[in-house]
Order: sequence, then structure tokens, then C-alpha cells
Amino acid sequence: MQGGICGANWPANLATGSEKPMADILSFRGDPHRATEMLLPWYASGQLDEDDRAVVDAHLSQCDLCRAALERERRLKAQVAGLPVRADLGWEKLQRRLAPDRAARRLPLPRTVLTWPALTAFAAAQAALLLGAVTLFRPQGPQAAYRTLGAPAARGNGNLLIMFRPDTPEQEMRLVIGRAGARLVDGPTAAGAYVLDVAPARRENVLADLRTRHSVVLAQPIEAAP
Amino acid sequence: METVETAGRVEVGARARADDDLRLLARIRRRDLKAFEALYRHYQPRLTRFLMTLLRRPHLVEEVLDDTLLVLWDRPDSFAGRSKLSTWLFTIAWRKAMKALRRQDEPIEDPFADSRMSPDRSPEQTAGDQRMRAALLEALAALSPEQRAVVDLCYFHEIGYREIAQIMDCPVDTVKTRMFHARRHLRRELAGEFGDWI
Repeated sequence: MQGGICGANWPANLATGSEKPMADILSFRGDPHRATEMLLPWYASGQLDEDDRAVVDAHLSQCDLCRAALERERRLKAQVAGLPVRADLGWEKLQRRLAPDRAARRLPLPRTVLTWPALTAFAAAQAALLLGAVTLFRPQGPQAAYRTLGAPAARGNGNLLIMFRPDTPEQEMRLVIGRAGARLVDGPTAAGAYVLDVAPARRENVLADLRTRHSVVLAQPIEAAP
Repeated sequence: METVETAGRVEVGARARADDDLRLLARIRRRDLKAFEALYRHYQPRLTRFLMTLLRRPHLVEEVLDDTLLVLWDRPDSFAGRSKLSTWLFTIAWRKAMKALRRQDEPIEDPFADSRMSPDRSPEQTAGDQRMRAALLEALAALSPEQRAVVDLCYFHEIGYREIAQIMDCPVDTVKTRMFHARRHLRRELAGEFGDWI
């Protein structure tokens, strides 16, 4: 196969096809034909500097052979880029490297990071306890008829439980609750959780939104007592 | 022109990505593990591909990949902002890979073995593209690591020659020359059976 796309006479050192040290560095700036050949890979991916692109554009507009070469270049690029490469390495594996036992040897990570799963588990357990307590001690229907303004029972029952990260600023908490269109009806509890009240029709959407927030550790529905 | 418009879109997308990267890095500096995970998940496939092409030894790739990305978590302040974060990561990966290559002298596992025989495709379907892939892989394997790196960075990652020169710490003309030799070799190796195509 002809090595030079335009049938140009290539320097003898190109005939080997192998790379040698600096002696083989090619510079064809004076020859747009060859300069185009050198730049085609980046032209094909839209990665050329403006000046170089102008040189290639100008040359392509008058050289059929180089336009054909560009098409071949695009096909070669697509084939190489499409080669599947095994890539079964992942975040889960790296997380194991971040695990406390290994981290102690290799990675002096801060305690907040290393203990985060444990913190989350603890927070979830506390929230579950709170959820049970809220359900157990929920004011019953008949009592509601006698409640007065200012009395604890005057607060809504709440239908959503939320727990923020321990380091969440108060301003962020207010923002999250406000954006959820929720009303704070109880908390903070001993476990640091809050009970919110939102319109029942919106609750699922609000929960879904809360769970995407970085500052929220836990957002759970509280079901009405039977 | 189509090429100019494509280049414009690529540039806008790249700028947005670079901004996202910097925001995530700022969060990593505040020890935000989720931000680290986000960057990891974005760059892991790209770096894996690059390293697999370059090193061709999965166990080595895994080691270099994790060592590279952990620099983000362990020493985020070592990124001085003189380049894009992606360039910085590829630079670290390149250096660590070359260091790993120098201390290795073992048989190369085949990172493409799984891709050569696909049970989902009929023999008729696979015949052409499998032959092409096999020929291409053999041709790539014969390139130097430096040439394979340039080919992958240019063709797959679509990184410009100046940025590749930064990553590989060499002159821009060296990048162009490596690419020239690599393409010439690939074309020659594929010339027999796929001469019309390539």
C-alpha cells in the first residue's frame, strides 16, 4: 500500500514505519500537502488550532486525494475508537481500598470519611426507633377534637421524617425544608431527626427530591396510625 | 462549515465539563466523598481505556488507575490549575504507567480477548468485523507504548496535539510524528485484506 496519501516522495526514514528518537521528528510546515497528512487525525476530530485548520481547509478544497484520505482517516479513527476494551474495574473496588483496614496502612483519610457508613447505619437505626416512637405516641382521633392553639397536640402529626448530616448548617436546613414546601412539626429529637408535614399528594415527590440532597442522610415517610 | 460547527460544539462541551470538574475538585478539597465518586465514575472508563491500550496488562492497569485517581483524593491541592483537570489526570496516568512498564517484564495478557469472540453475533456477522478488529489489534500491539498512547488519546479521547504533548511531556512535533508513524504502520498492516477500506 502506498504510504504517502498523496503519492508524495517520503523521506527514507519513514519507510521503516517504526519510531526512532528525535532524528525522526517530522516537520512539513512548508508543504501543505504533507502538513495536511500530519494534521488529518486532529482535523477529523475537530481538535485543530485555528491556523492549522485553515491550512488543512485550504488544501482539502483543492486536493481530491487528501479529501479521500480524510475519509479513510475517519474510518480508521472510528475502527480504533470502537475497539472494545475490557474495563471491569470500578468504584466498588476502589472503595474497598478506602476501607478502614487498608486505609490505615495506605490512606490517612479523615475519620469523617472512614466512619461514614457506620454513621449512616447508626443514624438509620436511630431514625427507625424514632419512627416507631412517633407512630406509637401519635395523637389519636378523638383527642384532636379537644386540642387548643399552643398545645403540643395542635401541631400537625407530620407525615415525613428527615435527618440531616451532622455538619449541615442551620441555613441549609431551613432552605431544604422551605423548598420542600414542608412544615416543621417536631424535632430535633434526641437522634437529631425532624418530623415534617407536607401535602399528602406531594409527599412522594418531596421524598424523592429530599433523597437527592447532599445534606440529607435520611428521608422516610411516616404512615398514619391504623 | 460542518467541521467548524463540530469543533465549536466540542469546545463548549469541553468547557462545561472543565467547569464541572473544578466544582467537584473544590468539594473534594472539603473531603466530600460523593464528589470524589462523581469524578471517579467520570474518568475511570476513560483512563481505563487509555491504560489498557498502553499497558495491556489488566492487573497493572488496575493498580495504575487507582493510584492515579487516588491522587485526587489524597493530594487534591497538587492540582495547580495550569491545565484542565482531565489533562492533569492523563498526565499522572501516563507517568505512572510508564514507570510501571519499566519495572515490568512479564507476558502480556490480552485485554481484548473477550471482544474477539462474541456469542451474540452469528458467524456471518462476526466474520468481517472480527477479522478487521483482530488485524487492527495485532497492528496496534506492534506499536510502541508511546505510539499507542498517542493513537488512543487522539482517536478515542479526541485530545488535541498540544494537550497530548503536555500529557506525555514532549514537543508537539514529537506527538505529530508518533501519530504519523503509528497511522502509517496501521495502514500498512491492514493493507492486504482491507486495502480498499483503509
